[in-house]
Amino acid sequence: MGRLINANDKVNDHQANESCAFFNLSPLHSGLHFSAGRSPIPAKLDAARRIDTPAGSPMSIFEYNGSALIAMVGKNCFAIASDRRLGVQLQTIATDFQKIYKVHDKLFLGLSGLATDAQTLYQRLVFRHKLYQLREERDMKPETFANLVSSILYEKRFGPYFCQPVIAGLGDEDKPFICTMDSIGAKELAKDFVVAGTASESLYGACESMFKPDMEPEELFETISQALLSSVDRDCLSGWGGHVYVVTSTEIRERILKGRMD
Amino acid sequence: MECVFGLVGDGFAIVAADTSAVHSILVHKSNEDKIMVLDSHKLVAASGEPGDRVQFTEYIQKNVALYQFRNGIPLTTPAAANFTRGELATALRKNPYFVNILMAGYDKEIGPSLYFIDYIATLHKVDKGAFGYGSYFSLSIMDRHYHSGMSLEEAIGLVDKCIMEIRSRLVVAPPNFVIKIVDKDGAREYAWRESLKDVSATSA
Repeated sequence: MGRLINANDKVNDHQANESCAFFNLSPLHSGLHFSAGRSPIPAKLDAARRIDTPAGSPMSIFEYNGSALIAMVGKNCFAIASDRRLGVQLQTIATDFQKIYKVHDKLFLGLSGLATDAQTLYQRLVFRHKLYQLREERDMKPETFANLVSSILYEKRFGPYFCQPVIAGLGDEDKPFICTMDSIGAKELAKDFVVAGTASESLYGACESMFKPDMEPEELFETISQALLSSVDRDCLSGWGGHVYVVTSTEIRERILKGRMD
Repeated sequence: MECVFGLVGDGFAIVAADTSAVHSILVHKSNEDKIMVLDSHKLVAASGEPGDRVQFTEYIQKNVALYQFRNGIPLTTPAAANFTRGELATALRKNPYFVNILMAGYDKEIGPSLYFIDYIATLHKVDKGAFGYGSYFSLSIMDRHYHSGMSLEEAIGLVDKCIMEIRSRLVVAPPNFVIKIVDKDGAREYAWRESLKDVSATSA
C-alpha cells in the first residue's frame, strides 16, 4: 500500500509539472491544481495560478486575456455590457472580441476570464440548451440556466474552467434576473447589478455610485455604459470600446461604444 | 524566435513565416517551411514546439482531407478553424500542443479570412495577426499601414516592411522568410525573402 501511494504521488507531481509548463508557470509553483482532477485541494489557491509575463512579474490565469462585464437590472428590462479587448497578457490581439452570447431571446450569458475556457464553456452550454429546447419544447428560464452553469462549473471542481460567467435574463412575467458566479459555480444573485472580469473592483465602485433602481431602458443604457467605460479606463487589460445589450420584453438593442482606444 | 504573421487583403489572404529551425543556440536549417498547405484553399502557418508543430498540423491536414473524402465537399475555413480549436482544447488539459496557428483560407461565398488560434485554443477571426517576438514589430507596422481591401502590391509591400522591421529590430532575427498566399485560385507559395542562403555541402 505504501508503495502504491508513492507511485501516485510521483504521477501527480509529474502531471503538476506538466500543467505548470503549459501556462509557463515555474515548477516552484507545482503543488497546483489544474491537472485533471486528482491533486489535493491546494492550501493557497492564489499562488497556484500565476503566469510569468515577459516583464517578469507573475499574472493570474484569470488575467491572461483581460475582460470586463456588467449586468444591470432596470424597470422590466436588463442590460448586459462587456469590453471588446482580446489580449495575450500585455499584448492586444484584437479589439472586436465578443464576450456576451445570446442563449435565447430573453437570456444572455457573458463570460469573463480565460478566453479559451469561455469559448469551450459557451459551446457546452449552447449544446445543453439546444438539447433542453428539443426535449422541453421551450426556452430555459434564467434561474434554471444559472443552475445549469453552476453545475457544469462545479463538475470541474478540481480542474476548473477559468471563467466567471454573468447571466442576465427575463424570467417569469418578464421579471429581470441577473447573477454571477465564481469559477467553480458559487452563485451570487443580486437585485441591482453584477460585475466580473479584471476590472471588477473598479466596476463595483462605478456601478454602486451610478445605479438607481427601476431605470427605464434608455437611462439604463446610459448608466451601464458610463459605468463600464469609466472602469475599464482604469484597467490596462480591458477596454478598447464596449458592447452593450439592452433587453426588454419586446426588443433587444445592441450597441457598440467607442471609448478610449488604448 | 519564430515569427509568423498574416493579413487579409482584397480577395486574398497572405501569411509569412520565418524559416529557421532552431534548437537552443544552434540553427539546424534556415529553409524550414512552416506554412502548410492544408488543402486547395487553406494555409496553416504554425509556430511553437517543433515536434508538436509538425505533428499537429499534419494531423489537422489529414483530418480535413478525410472529411472531404467522406462527405465529397471540402470544409470551409471557419469550420476547419473551429475543428483545429476543438482539437487543441480537448488536448489542453491532458497533453497540450504548444502550437500557435494562423489559418488563412478562401471560400467562394465568404471570401478570404484569417483565424488566430492560440496554443491554449483561443480562436478569433482577425484581419491581421502575428505570433512570436516578431509580433511586437509586425503588429505595430500593420496597425500603422494596414487598411481593409489592400491590393496585392500594397499587401506585399506591407509584408516586406514587417520583415525589414523584424530584421533590423529583433536581436536574434531570423534571416529568411517564406510568404504564401491564398485566393480564389488556391493556396500557393508566393515568394521567399532570403538574406542568408544555405551553403550546400558540395561547395565546402
